[in-house]
Amino acid sequence: MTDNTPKRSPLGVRMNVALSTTRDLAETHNRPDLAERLTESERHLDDPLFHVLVVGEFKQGKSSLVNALVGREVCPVDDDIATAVPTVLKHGPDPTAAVLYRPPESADPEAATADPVREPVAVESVAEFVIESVKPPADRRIHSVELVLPAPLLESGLVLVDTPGVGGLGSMHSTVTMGALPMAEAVLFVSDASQEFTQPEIDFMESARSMCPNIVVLLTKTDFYPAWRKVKALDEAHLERLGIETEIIPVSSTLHAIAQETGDEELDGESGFPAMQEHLLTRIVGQAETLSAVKLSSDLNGVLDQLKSALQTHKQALNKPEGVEAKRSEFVAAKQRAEELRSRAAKWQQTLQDGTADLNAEVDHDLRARFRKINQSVDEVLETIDPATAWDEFEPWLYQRVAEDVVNNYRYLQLQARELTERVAEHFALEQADLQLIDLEVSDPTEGLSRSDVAAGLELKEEGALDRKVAVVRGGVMGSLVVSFPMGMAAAVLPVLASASVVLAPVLMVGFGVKAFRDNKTKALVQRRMQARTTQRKYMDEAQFLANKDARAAARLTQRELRDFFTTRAKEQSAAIDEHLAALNTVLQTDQKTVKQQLAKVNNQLKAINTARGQVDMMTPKAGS
Amino acid sequence: MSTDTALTTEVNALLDRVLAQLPPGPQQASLSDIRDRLDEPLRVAIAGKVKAGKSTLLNALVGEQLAPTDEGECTKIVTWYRNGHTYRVEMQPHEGEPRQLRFNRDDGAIEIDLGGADADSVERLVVDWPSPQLERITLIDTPGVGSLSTDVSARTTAFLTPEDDRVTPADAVVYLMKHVHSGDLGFLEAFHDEEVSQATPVNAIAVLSRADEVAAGRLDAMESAIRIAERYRTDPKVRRVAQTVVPVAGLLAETGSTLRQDEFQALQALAGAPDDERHRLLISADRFVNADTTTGVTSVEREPLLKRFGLFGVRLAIGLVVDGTVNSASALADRLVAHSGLPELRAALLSQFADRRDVLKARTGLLALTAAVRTMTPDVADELNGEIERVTASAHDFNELRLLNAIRTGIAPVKDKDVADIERLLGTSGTSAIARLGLPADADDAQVAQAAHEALARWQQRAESPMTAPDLAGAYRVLVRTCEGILTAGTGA
Repeated sequence: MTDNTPKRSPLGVRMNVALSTTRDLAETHNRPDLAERLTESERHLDDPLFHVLVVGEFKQGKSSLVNALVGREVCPVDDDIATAVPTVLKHGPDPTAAVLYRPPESADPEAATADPVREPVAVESVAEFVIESVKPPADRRIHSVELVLPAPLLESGLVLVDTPGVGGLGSMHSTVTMGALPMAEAVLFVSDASQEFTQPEIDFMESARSMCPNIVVLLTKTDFYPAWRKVKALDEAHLERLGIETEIIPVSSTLHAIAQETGDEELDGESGFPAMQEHLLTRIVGQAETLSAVKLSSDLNGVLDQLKSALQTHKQALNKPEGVEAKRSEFVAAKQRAEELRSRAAKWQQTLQDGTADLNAEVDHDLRARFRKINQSVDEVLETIDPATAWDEFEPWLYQRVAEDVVNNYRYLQLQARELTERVAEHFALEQADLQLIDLEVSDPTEGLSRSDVAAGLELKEEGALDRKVAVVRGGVMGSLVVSFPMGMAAAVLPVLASASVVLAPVLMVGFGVKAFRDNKTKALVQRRMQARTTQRKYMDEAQFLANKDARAAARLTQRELRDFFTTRAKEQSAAIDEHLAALNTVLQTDQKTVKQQLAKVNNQLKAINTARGQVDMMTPKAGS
Repeated sequence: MSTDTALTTEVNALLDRVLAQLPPGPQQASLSDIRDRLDEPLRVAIAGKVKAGKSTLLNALVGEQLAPTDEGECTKIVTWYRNGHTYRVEMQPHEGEPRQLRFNRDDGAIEIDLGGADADSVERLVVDWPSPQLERITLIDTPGVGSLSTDVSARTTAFLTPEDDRVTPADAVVYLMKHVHSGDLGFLEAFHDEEVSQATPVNAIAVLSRADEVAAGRLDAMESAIRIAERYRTDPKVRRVAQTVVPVAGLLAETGSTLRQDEFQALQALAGAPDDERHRLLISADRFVNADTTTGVTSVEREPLLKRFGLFGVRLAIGLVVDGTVNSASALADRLVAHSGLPELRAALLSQFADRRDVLKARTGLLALTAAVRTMTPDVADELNGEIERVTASAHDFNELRLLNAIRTGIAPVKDKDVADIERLLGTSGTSAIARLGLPADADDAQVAQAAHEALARWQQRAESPMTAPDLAGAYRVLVRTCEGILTAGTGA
């Protein structure tokens, strides 16, 4: 383990213990494939990161807040200047910083989607890169800035992302932030106490909650505005009206800073910071951990079920040797069908293939339709304005419209991908159900997930089409799904698009190439308008091309991951059947004398499995505990 | 300049002529109103979003607490404040005859008794109030656009068309804007108020209101606000819709203008607290009201103080008492007002509006005429239009304003490096000769004449050069005429 390992909580420790035990058992019982799967899960556990976006209108106090949270003046704070670049803060033993540059603007739009280039810089100089007025060298544009700090708040794995306030919530930057929401654990929405929520703030929260349900509102500058309690009440009324369940925490970064300096605990209490930090840790980190535990327990139970079922076959066979031959034939036949499940001709593979093609077509169509509407709006607007004078307004307006549509299109893609995943899972489960021959005791995958201990943001859906239920648990982070199958076949995190990076920003940063338009000496209004239209269409063609490219890449990735995931499950199915067959063979070769010994051994092994089950149960608190 | 009255005379004459030709009816009535209006003081509307601080600013300008600043019914009605011989409040409903209303004023703002009338049925309230501040300018307080009722999809029509060709109730507008990012699509919402006037650069001033809030209570708030206003002033979006941007801490201005003796005494007592106690009191709004104090000023007394001054105002005022800068209520009042940015706003109102009163009024008249003429038969219309053209073209003040407009909206192709000089010559820093020529205030007649000659030569050369494009030459000729006017008038403006 490196020095960067975050402190492990008691739950984290339990999770690790249960995982180790189960993995050892998998090895012992000749299932290295399952052990391998668990090693993957362990990797996730060791490095949990919870991304928290800090979002808010221009000048609401985001950067002051972030500085106060990490105890260091890293984000620039100025009355006039706004943050223009996302700043990512994570934990590490020594303070370091790096600037990530976008690939240079070039004639080749493909180059825009390459990975950013990272360059280390001094921590003190971060502010210089982040503020609006900075003009980096012409051929380099800043993608984001990363800071690593030994701040206590970040130790638990929290990663703070200070988002650009430039342009306010109605702007393109904000839309890009919106696009990043599905990857976030939570949103800290910052609004100051000078007045109640404005319409753009409300709009943002309404849009955001479907993508990241965990929103916490921070009401800032309570030291300065005497009527802050009234504003809080007004804000709470708005949230209630919208049906958004969240807390509003009043804070003052100024008071907190003074309290830290003077060691005044009472003042710190008044600053609201202790309450906020507590909330962050329990609600965000705590919830994320709970979700991890739920996922892991599903996973582990799945593995244990498989091991257990082989042992039970063995036990049954020992008790009733006369039925073994018959059983053996059944399993051999089942093995045949399991191979079919794995093959390309399997129904679920078809669903996946067709589904992916459909998804591409639909997402493409969606974007085209949206852009068509923009073109219509632009034509209407150009009838009423003179581009020469109104360009300063027109350009950001257009960027904003395009950004919104690209983000909405991406969300549509994510929804479609999720649906595809569920459909493939269903078909897989259906085919698999055909293989069920034996009435085995398997754990109900929904058992660990009673409604009362499902944390906010988790949604439990039970497909009733089958005898056995497929439980689909959607986590707080939209990028993951937990699917549990009958026969305890599998429970794992399906990384739906979690690893597909959101490459929206390059699309949106494709600027209007033809800025020379503004210097055009053409006098005629008609010609100016025509030129504006041409320029706009050209920009949107490029934007469409890039957005489409991203969408297809994301779809391809999803398809690959789903195929790999279910193929692995199918392989496990085969391996499981192999174990059953091996057990039966062992029994066939056993002579009477050693039956008792074998039974004893099998019973012991079953006990070990039960012990492991006990450890897994410890991970997820039951209702009422 | 002597052409002012000549302009007004001509416009009045035209109006009389057209009025004679119109049949009695609503059109004649409204044109007649316009005619009467030309003789009245300039009408300046205060517009902006809800809670931008309009009423507070109005009170500061008048120097009295008149307009209510709470959230009562009356703040939702357009209210006019004009100079009167006596104190009087009149209500004008949408339908029916105007009638006088009862009001009282115990302590603070006027409380008007609507007499059971529904706020929606009232077109406007008119308050007559004897006040020297209202002699030259009639102030119109507007309810403002609600921030939560703004339709976000109105973004599609967020483009301001600079030329205003409708006649609106106000001759000029002060737009209150809060510190919003200029990239924000909502940025220009502050400049939309269909009821009152659409912004054109010649008759609008922007005020960065609640300027003390930009620094959330730090004492150097006004310095920051000045920097921010400067930046807005040069932003092309703002330049197209307003003449200039002035930062004002409205609450400070209002309270400074209406400071009471008992308030001063309370502040003085608080200033006398021991250092750490005082420090504790000023650390936050809650602490100021609730913390214990040995000064004898109770929580109950401190709360209204905070409401009147704001935390910034309280810190500033107490600081001034502590360091001995002020030791009387009137001294404190003066300092607060000086600090608030109000004097600079008054100066801007004076130079942009009051000094240009005749031109702005004439403009209103001509717009009304143009609209009325459109409804007439072609032969009559043609002749009248010809007259209107003549008046407009010959009115040099108009030409100055039009050139200013054209520069601001980007239509006049003047070179960037010339813009500042040209605008100043056209009167954006003041219409006196000294202001136009950018000379120090103590310049004597000879210096003014010298500078005017130099300017004249400069622009004349440009105007006559064969290299200059025709419409640019036209612009230069306007400048030449301005210089000639300065020389003709001597040092007078």
